[in-house]
Amino acid sequence: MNRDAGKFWWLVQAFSGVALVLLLGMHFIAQHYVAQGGLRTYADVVAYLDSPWVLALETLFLVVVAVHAALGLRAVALDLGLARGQQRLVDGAVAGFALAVVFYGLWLFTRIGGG
Amino acid sequence: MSAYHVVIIGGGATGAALAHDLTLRGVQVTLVERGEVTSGTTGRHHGLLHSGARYAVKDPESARECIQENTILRRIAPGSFELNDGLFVAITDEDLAYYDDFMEGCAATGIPTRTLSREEALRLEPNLNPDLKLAVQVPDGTMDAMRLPLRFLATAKHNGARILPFHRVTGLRFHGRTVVGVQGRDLVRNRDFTLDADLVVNAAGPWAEQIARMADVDVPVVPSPGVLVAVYGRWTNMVINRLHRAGDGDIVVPQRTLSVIGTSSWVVDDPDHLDVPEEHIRLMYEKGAEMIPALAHAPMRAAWAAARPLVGSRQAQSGRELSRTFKVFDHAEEGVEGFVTIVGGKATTARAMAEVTADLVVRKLGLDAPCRTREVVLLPHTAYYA
Amino acid sequence: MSTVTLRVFRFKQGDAAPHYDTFTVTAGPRTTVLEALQAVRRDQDPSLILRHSCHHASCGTCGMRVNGHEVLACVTPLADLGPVVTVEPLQNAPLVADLVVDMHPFYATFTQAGMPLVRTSDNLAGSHPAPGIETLTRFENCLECGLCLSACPVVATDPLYLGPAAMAAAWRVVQEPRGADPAQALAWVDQEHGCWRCHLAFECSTVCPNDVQPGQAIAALRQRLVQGEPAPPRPRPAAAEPAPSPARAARRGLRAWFDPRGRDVGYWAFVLHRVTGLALVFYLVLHLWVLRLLARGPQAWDDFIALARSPLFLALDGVLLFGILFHGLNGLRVALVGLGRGAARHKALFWALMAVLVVALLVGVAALVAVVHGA
Ligand SMILES: Cc1cc2nc3c(=O)[nH]c(=O)nc-3n(C[C@H](O)[C@H](O)[C@H](O)COP(=O)(O)OP(=O)(O)OC[C@H]3O[C@@H](n4cnc5c(N)ncnc54)[C@H](O)[C@@H]3O)c2cc1C
Ligand code: SF4
Ligand code: FES
Repeated sequence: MNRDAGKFWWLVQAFSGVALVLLLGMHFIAQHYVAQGGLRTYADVVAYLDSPWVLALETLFLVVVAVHAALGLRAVALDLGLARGQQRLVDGAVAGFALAVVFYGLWLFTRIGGG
Repeated sequence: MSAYHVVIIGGGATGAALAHDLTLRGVQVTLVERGEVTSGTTGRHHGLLHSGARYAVKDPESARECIQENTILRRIAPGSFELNDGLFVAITDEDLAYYDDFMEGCAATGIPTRTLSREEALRLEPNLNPDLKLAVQVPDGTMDAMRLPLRFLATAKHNGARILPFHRVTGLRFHGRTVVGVQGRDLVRNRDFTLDADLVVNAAGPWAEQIARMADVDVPVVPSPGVLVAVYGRWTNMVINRLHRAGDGDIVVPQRTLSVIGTSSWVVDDPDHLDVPEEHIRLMYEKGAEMIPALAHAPMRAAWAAARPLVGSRQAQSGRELSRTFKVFDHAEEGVEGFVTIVGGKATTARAMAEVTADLVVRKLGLDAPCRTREVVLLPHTAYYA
Repeated sequence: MSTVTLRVFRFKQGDAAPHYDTFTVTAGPRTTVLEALQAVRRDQDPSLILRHSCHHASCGTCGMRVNGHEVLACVTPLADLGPVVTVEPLQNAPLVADLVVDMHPFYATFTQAGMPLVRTSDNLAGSHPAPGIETLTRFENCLECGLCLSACPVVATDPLYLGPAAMAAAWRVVQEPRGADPAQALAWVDQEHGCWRCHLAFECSTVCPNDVQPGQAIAALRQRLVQGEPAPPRPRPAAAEPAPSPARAARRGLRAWFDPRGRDVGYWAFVLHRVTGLALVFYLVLHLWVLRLLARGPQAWDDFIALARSPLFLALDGVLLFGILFHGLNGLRVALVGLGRGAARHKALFWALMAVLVVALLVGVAALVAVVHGA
């Protein structure tokens, strides 16, 4: 991490957080409140994800959540007072976590309906 | 560094300045202090970097010491003072009648003055009592009571002195009637300690008599407490003194966001038993408000007492009659070798006290090492802990 | 005169563990905690040690925790504190003995900010410099007491964190350089363990005895770093090297999260933010795991939906909603205040957001129930 990392990642965390407040609100309303009975049935989900707009929005949501969660985990890890070597390990681990979340989510999108 | 080891008892302004002075002269120094450094009288003083004007009429010796040290300290401890000068204000006709004596005293002791008209004084300090007749500007200043001595200690430490806070001396060690060290209690580890020394200096301020008694010698020190009251608000930027014979509650020292009013004076036997009489607090408010009326309603931050280590007759009634100068005792005169006491003075004159004491110490040790503390600029106080 | 029992933390170098001693003292209306401890030392136990010097909130040595709160003992009246008063040393600093902590780590960082110790601003308004005086001066406000470090949840855990006092000092250099270099000060705090590490709990500002407002200073530093043009070539200042090991050992670590005794709301907000954050990560993983059912086709998913409509599940949804709302709303505060917006009113902002939380939670849960039962 170079010296600017502190500011950069703090800003990413702050803006992803603000974005999440909006995206999550939308996700909640779309997936749970608008849906009949609080959850979409399988058929509904498939139909819903058919729209490219929805798919884009949900993908964005997925990425932002992954980044925000990874940075949050990293902050908690830093709370533990890590030595420099361990910190690099944590950076790698949380980056891996974020990527895993994103790819798993994308994989799910491709499976739904298609499978 | 010579092989000589001197133990200093007391980590107040005096002990701190002495540790610095002796270390610069190449002596090995260990300073022992029963509490945190400056936890005796020093940390609790009024915070006035004296110009000496207060003593110019009645105590010219002390006044001369003050103005000299004031000038030196500005040079060796830059950044440790609020340097806004001081005013002596005449409020009553009686104060005004004192003016000529005051100006004469200042001139005789070398204290620069500038007389300001009522209007000029009020322009500088609008919160002064509008009834004032005139004011005299002198080079007073505000000092941080703890940080200045910390700078002496920091510099001494940096040059090799050992500072041992939380070490209480309980006795002296003798070889015949020669003092060869100290013993006491290490309160960090809760165990006894002993230190060998070629010479022991008693710089225990108002406790100096207790230490002297450990060697069966007598030091005529009178612990003379005074009450100080800190109120919220910076009501002036300059130090404000009453233009009259030194009395109660006649100095207000602004410091950071507070103003400190002081002081009173009485005498006690034991400097560890200091109460803060309610009527003294009232007196500070009352007297302070005669110079700066707004003080009457300024909320109080703290009221406390500290004991001056005055040298003089035990018969003293209030302490005001005793000189503010200092005295070094070579107890060889009473048959005790290897033991020196330094008491009296002011925090402002600690460096000078140290110089005179160190002159005696090196003479006794047979060293030829001149004083260098007039020139050496001190490390910042933060270096003491850093 | 009232009688007070003091429970005093005791430890000497070489002891296996600390313990508490009790002393009975009498207190008048003005008796301070410091005076009471001095009386204990004088009359009951001369081995008790503590730091003190000025007795009027000016030297900063007498910082300690009284009933869990960081205070200056010399200006804390004993009579107001109840019949039993617990006195402990500051936290997050190496313990020397009894109530004395080692100030070395504090100063090692504090001095790196390079703040001149005398300021030329904030003197009495209307007062003019006397002839021969160029500008009025006065000491900086910070008493170097270390109360803020003892109260800070991030200092408690991150041994490399610069901490509130040092960053407040850096902000003073930016505000009023007096020959020091503001770019250097900004570069120094602009690091992972500098101002970006702060979580805006504002405990520092709450306990500070001399209105230094370190929390607001950190927010202002960030604002400056975000808005300021890219700093000119910055001489890379000494990075915060790992503090010496005693300092490291002295931090309370994660224990601090679960021991917010004596702390103000900002601290609770910080802990709750961390806890809800971790819980939400856990939930995220769980959520994605559940969604795998979608990949298995209609049957698996619709079975799950039936389960999800059970009352237990709905209750858990309520908890989830709380976690999301708290984390989201407090996060908004952290983001806003962290960029210097509303730092002065951070507490009001917090409570306003909590009011939003309550309303949103009630509406959300009601809507959920209505939606599910309406089905
Ligand atoms: C109310 C008041 C206001 C004052 N205002 C000013 C002012 O504005 N400006 C100014 O220049 N001067 C002022 N003075 C004077 C100044 O404070 C003192 O002259 C000076 O601080 C004395 O310093 P010291 O080192 O000699 O004594 P101390 O500071 O008392 O140091 C002696 C030390 O010895 C230690 N000690 C005692 N017994 C033992 C033991 N057995 N073992 C180890 N250590 C021991 C004590 O703990 C203490 O720290 C004021 C004094 C008073 C009382
Ligand atoms: S910022 Fe406040 S609490 Fe922190 S050390 Fe300075 S005076 Fe003490
Ligand atoms: S003794 Fe100086 S701040 Fe309390």
